Amino acid sequence: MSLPNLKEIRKSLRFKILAILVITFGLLGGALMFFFNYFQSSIQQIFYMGIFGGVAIIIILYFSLYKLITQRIRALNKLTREIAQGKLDLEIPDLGEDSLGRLADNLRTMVQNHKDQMEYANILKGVIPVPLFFVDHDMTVTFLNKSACTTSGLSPAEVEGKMKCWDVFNSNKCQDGCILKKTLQTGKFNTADIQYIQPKKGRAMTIMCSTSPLKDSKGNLLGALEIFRDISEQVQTENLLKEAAKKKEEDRKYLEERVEKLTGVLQKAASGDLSSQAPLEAKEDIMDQLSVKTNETFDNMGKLIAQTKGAALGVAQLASQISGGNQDLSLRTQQQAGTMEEISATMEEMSASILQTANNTKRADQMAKEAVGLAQEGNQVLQRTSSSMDQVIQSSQKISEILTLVNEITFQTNLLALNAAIEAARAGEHGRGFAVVAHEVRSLAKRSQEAAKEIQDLIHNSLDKVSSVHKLVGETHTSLDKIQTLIQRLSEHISRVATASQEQSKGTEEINQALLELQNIVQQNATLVGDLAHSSQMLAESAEGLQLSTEGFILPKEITIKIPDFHVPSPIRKEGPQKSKDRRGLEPPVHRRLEDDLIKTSVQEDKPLSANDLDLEEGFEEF
Amino acid sequence: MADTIQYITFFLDQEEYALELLKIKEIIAFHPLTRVPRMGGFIKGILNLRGVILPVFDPREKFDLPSRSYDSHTVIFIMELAGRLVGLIVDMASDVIDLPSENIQPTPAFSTPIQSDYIQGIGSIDDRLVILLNADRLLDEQEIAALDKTI
Repeated sequence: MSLPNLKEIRKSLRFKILAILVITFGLLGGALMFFFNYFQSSIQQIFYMGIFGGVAIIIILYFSLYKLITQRIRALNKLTREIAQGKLDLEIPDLGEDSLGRLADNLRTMVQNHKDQMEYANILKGVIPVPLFFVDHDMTVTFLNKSACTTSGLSPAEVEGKMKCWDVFNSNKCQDGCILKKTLQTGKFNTADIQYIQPKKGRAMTIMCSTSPLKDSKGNLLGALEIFRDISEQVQTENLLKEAAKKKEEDRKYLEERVEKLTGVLQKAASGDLSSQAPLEAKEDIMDQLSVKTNETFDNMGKLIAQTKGAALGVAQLASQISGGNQDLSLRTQQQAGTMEEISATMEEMSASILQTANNTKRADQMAKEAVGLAQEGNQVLQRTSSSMDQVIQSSQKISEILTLVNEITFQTNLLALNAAIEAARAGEHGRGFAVVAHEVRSLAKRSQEAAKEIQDLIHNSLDKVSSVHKLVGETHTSLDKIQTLIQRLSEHISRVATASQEQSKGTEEINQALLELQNIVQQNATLVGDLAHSSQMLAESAEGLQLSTEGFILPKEITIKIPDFHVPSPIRKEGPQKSKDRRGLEPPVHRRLEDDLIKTSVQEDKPLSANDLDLEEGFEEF
Repeated sequence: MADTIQYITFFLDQEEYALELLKIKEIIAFHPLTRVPRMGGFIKGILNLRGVILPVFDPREKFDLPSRSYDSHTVIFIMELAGRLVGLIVDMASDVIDLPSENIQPTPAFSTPIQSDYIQGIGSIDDRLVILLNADRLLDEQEIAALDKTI
């Protein structure tokens, strides 16, 4: 039951009192007025008024005091009873500022302090992160914090006030040497005891525990508490550390042995003996790797040295070969110089022949021009012939005309003779002689007609021949024109040949220049060959030195020394100096061939020209 | 040599014909003829011979020979037919021959009488045969009438 608020009580009291007063005084006033009117005397009036007033005041006071005091004390009484029963979870109302109000305030402060202390104690129990539990005298667990619950695998409801501590945690020291029991017996602290617990529902672990007695304010033992910490990991770690230390020691000894062995092998290697191998333990550890790498190094070094030895041998051989080849080269360079001189001489001859060709070409050109002139003359002669022919044709035509006239005359004569014959016939005997004459005339006319016909035939014949000659002349004219064109083309070709021979001349000059340069180069080559001989000698010495320096090494048996195959160009190696004779034998034919070519070309250049000349001259003679 | 007649021979289309020499008045070279309108087909034109106008005819049509152009050898025989002068165009005048009468054969049987009217006979000289024409029958009456019309 909650108490009515003090201010509300007061307010209601005030209203009630005021209402009572108003009503009372209203009633009193009314009564007074009544009595005043009724009794008319002031004394009586005052008296009655006093009585009524007193009664009214008593009634009012009773009601107000009951409300103000009695009710509030009852409420306080109820609150204190509840507090004594241990119920602190209640609210104490504000009862004003009088003595009762202050009492209520103090009570509130007291309850609050209690609550704070209990909260503090609860917090202390709750916040401890490690397992914590309380027991009473009988070792029955009265409190179990969250961490202890987790460790035991039980809930507080299952345990608190119901189970003994050994049933909850099942330590190895529950039977003998329980420090909680000792604390309950002696009432003293016990710390840092190590136990091994195996809770029925939780995880087994090694713990470090401490116990403390629980006493009231008067020093009476109420029970004890135990707090413990899981040190399983620590223990484990310690064990591990111990094992590690032991292993480390073993490893160190093993390493020392291995290093000693390896040192022995390396000492041998330092003195040049690469035949022994670093031992392997088939453990694939760092020492094995080191051994493997060492062996690889020895192997590679061995190979390298073998290669170096081989290379030194190869280089020495090569140097001697170079030396041999160099002599050959020297010989050939001399031959080359000789050949160069020969080529130079040949080139001079070639120049001379080219010059001759140029002169021949010039002559051919002149001849071609003369031929053109002759052809033109021939054409003129032909033209003259043609005009003569025309004249012949004209004359024949005239003769033909004359013959026509002769024929006409003959015809007329014949006619006259016929008419004469007619006249003679008419004359009869007298005309007989005339008839004879007429007959004679007629026969003459006939003969002259026949002669004219023969002449006509002859002229026709001659005209036919003339026309055929005319045709031949025309054909000859065409042929001559063609010949002229051909000769002109020939002339062009000849001029091209002339240009070509000029270019050839230039070319031979350039070749001569080039030959000079070549000769210089050959000389330089000769110098170079000398240098090369010196260098190959030095190379041979270096190779010897290299051989000497690698002789001290002892190599494993499986490494063989291979002389590398230097790819020496075949002419030097395969054609020894004895074969250079063949080359020398070969070179003159080349030279000769060149000369032959030159002679051939010159002949070829001369031949067609001379043939052409002859042909042309003959051709012109024909015309 | 008892009976010999003089003939003048001429050619017409390469055949040799002959006319009695005395029937011919004159032989002249071919002259261009003056053509007269509506004259007969065989009459080729008229000719002025020293003032005498005479008609000229070509026997080719009458003899069924192909016509031909006239050339330098073409001559005109001037002769008297039925009392009037006419010109006869021949290809070429050839010769004057003396033909004995025994050398003259009669007209061969294959010719119809009408057609062979103007053929006197066939004369043979050496190896040649000459067709002898009868000058008086060379033109029939109609043709003579046509000639008369012309002038």
